[in-house]
Amino acid sequence: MFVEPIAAGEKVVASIRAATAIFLREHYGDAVAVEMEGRGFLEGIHLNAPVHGCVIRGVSDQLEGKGEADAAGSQSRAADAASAVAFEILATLHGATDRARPRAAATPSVSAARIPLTELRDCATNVGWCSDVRSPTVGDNDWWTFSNRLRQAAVDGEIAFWGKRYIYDFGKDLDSEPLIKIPREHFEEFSFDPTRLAQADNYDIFTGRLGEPPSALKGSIFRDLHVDAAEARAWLNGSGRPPPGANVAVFVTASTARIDDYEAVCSLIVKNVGTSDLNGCLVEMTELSGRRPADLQMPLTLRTDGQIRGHEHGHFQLLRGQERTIPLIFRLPRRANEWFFFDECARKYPLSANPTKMIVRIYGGASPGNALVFVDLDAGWKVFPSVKAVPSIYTLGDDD
Amino acid sequence: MTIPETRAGRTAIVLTALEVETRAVLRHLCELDEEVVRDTVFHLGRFCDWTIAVAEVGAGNHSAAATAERGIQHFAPSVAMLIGVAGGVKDVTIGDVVVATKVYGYESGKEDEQGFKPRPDVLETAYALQQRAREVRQKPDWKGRLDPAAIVC
Repeated sequence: MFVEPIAAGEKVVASIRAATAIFLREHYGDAVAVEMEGRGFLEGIHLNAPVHGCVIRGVSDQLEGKGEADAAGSQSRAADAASAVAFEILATLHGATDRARPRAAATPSVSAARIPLTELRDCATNVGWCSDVRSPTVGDNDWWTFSNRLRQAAVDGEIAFWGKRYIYDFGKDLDSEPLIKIPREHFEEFSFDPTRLAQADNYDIFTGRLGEPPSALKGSIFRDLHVDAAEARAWLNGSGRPPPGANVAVFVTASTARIDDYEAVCSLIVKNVGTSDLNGCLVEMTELSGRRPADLQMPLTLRTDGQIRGHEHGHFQLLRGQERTIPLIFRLPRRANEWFFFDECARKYPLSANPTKMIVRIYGGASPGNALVFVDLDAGWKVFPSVKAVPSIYTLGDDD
Repeated sequence: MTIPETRAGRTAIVLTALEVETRAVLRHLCELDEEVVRDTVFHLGRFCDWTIAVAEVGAGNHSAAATAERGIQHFAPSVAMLIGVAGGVKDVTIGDVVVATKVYGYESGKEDEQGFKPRPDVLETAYALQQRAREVRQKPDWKGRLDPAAIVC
C-alpha cells in the first residue's frame, strides 16, 4: 500500500511507451499512478471546505497489456483492494481522537459502541452464531466485529444464546474428519455458557438452527472461528482485533507462461497476504468436473511459472506480500479447442475445451485451503476464469 | 455493563467511475437504498456508524467535479472519497493500493514552438485522511476487508 502522489488527465494511458507515460516520468516523477477523475474530484472538494477528500486507487494495470490485464479480473481485484483500504480508513477514522485518551479506557468500548444490544439479540435469534450477519450497524458479514461483540455480551451475561456447539480438539486435523461424520453425541444444544467458552483452550464453533440435523451444518464452518486459546481469550477480553486470518489469497489471471509451444490459457495467482513468510507452499488440483483424461492421476501437483521455466518442481516459498503465478490449463496457439494439463514432470494430458470446474487445494497457510476454479469460455474460445474459496470438505458434487 | 449509545451518525460520499468499482464499494454496505438527487443516482448504505452515498460518475474529471459538488451540497458529508482503479506508473504492481497525497492535473500547460511546457496544477487530499492512511498501512487489518471469496488458507 502506498501513500504517494498520482496524476490525472483526460486520456486512457494504455502503454508504457505512450507519450503521456514518458511525459509523466519526466515532469511528474513522483506520481506512482495515473487515472482520469482525481483532479476534477478534488476540485469539487476544494470548493467545499471543510469536507475531507481523498483519492484511493487500486492498481489494475501497469500501462502495458491493459486489455489483457483488465480481462483477467485485475480491475475487480484492484477495485476490491482500494475499497478495503477505504473502508478500513473510515472504520478507524475516529481512532485519531480516541487515541489521545488512555488506551485501556478506549479499547473495550470499540466494539461495544458499534452494535446495539437489540440488534445483537435479533441476529442471535436468527442465526445462532453469526453465519450470515446482516447487521445495520456493522457491515454485512462483518462477522468478526459482530461475534466479538456477541461474545463480550455473552460473557457479560446480557444475552442468552441457544444453538449447537461442538468443541473440537485443536490437536486433530479437521480435514481428516468430515463434518457430516461427527457423531451426533458430539453436538449439544446449549444455552450459552460463557464460563465454558472462556475456559475452552481451543475450539471451533459450527452453526445451525435448532432442530436441524448435523448434515445441515455441512459447509457452514467458519473458517476464522478456528481460533487458538490466546486469540480466543483476546476476543473474550474484547480487545477488538480480528484473529489472524487467512494468509494466502488466490486470484485468476492471464499468464504468459509457456511449456514448449503450449501457452497458458488461464492461471492462478497465489499471494501471501499474511504477516509472515511461508515456506513449503504447494498447489494441487484435487478434483475436475467432466471426463478426466484417462491416465491423469489425482491430485495433480501444479507448478509455478518460475518452476516451469527452471524445470523444477515441489514446494515453493512465498515471502510476505509475494505472489506467484500458477498456470492451470495450456493450449497450442492455433488449436483453441484442445486444452492440456501438465504434471510436475511436464507430461501432458489432453482434454477438450469445455466449461470446467476444478477444486484446487493450497497448502502453506494456516491450514490447507480449498478453492473452486470455474473456467468458462465463449463461442470464440475466449476464456473467463473465476475462483472462490470453498470449505475444506467441499466437493464438486456440492456445486449443483 | 451498559451499552453506550451508538455514535451519532456520520456521512461520507463515495464516487466511482466504473461499474466494477461501484460493485466493490457496495459490497461493504448494508441496508442498501437509493436516492436520486436531481437525476444523479446515489446508492445509500450503512457502514459502522457511517451513512455512505455512492455515485458512479463515468470516466473523466469534469463529471467527477460536478457530481462531487452535487453530492456534497445534498448530503453535507464530512468525508468524500474517490475509489477506483488506476494505471501504475512506477514502483507499484497490480493489486497495490495508492492513497493519493496529491493529484497532479498533468494536462495543464502551454503549447508553443518548442512543444508542451507543463504548468503545475496540483490539489492535495485531506491531511487527516492521509494520516489515517499511513496508519492503516502499518497494519494488515485492511486485508481482512478484502473480498473473502478468493482468500483460501
